[in-house]
Amino acid sequence: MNDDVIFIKNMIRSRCMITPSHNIMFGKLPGTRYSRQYYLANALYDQRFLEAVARQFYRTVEQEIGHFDFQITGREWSSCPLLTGLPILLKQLYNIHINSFLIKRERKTYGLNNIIEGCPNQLPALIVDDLCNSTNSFYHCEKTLAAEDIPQLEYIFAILNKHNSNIDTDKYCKKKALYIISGDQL
Amino acid sequence: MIPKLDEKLKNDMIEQLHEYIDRHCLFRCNPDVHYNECCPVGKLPTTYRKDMSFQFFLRRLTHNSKMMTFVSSLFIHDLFDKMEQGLEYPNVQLCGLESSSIPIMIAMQAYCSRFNISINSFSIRKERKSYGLFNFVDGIPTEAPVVIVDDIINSGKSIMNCIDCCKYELNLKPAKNSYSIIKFNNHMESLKYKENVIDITSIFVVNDFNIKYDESKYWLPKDCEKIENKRADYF
Repeated sequence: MNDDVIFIKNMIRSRCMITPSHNIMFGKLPGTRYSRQYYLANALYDQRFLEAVARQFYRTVEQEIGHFDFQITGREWSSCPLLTGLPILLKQLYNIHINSFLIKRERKTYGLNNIIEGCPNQLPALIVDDLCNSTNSFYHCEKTLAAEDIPQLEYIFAILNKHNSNIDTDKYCKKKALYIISGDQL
Repeated sequence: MIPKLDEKLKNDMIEQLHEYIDRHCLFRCNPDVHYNECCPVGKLPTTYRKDMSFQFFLRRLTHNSKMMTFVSSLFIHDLFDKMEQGLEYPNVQLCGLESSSIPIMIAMQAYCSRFNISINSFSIRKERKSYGLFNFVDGIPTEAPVVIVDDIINSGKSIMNCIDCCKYELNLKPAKNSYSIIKFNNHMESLKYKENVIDITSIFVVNDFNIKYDESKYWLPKDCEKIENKRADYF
């Protein structure tokens, strides 16, 4: 583990692992309860955290993908800080230009009813998110990209993989999951 | 401290921003197209007007790293100029409503980090989360006064929402200044809401752009839902 991964790990442990005193929280679905919640938004608005993520993103992509000829996308709005922060910081730190665009959860109900915010280009898209759990958001992005004829990279990227080992992404999208830290490392 | 921004460089950035918005972020409705096919309909039922003929797509700008560097440098230099003049507080944090303001806040933070200046930010939701912590806020607010940022200011409702959340949920004081890329009303120098008077600093007003239909600037987003209904000659 390098310094950036250790910093990211410490930030997640100190800021993003929420365990309430009453030990139970209402879940997203009816009848579900959480005893702990990972809330990465508490760290994503910290500049040092975002810089560490950008540096680690660069290392991971260089090692696993080997090039930066792609654009990044993600589902609103947990991935929004990443979609803005990564292109700016990669340009600042490594002089690498990456395009980004955002996929909405639902089409806009007014105006031109668009589902994509930003300008996608011809390069394949890498789907990014803060947390990888059920992979629903990746699946949503994959479906939208396919519908809009935007090519996709055979990888997805997340800061935290909530599970202990590499998730079974085949269940939803046949892509390789790249992540900075996994649940068992926390 | 951040060095002063050269006036020529500033004007050059504003010019490039204007050009980008004019080309890529302003949809001008073709008057020959039937409105039920593609005319932008307003957000509220009462705003539906047959003559509503343009729409800003500023997310195209906020997802462009070069343009966001321009926007953030203009905002940060203005903010620090005002702080030096004693009109603003020595320490501030940024906040905005939902996803439209997030790219601006992140870009402003990234620009500050070039000069080793740390500036906190947090995002306010329109509604509470319906599960987990039921939180209104993403990020961790500090006690510093809050500078509100947004992409477009029309009625100022998003600023009011932020003020209410800061005051009644977080017990924070809004700073005297707020920032937006475009404001709709030319005369909207400040916003009065409850006992707060917030100055609005915008790079552009709507009148800076020619919103009339121009064939050379006509485009449609590819993901527009009603694109199949468009006539062939618009492709």
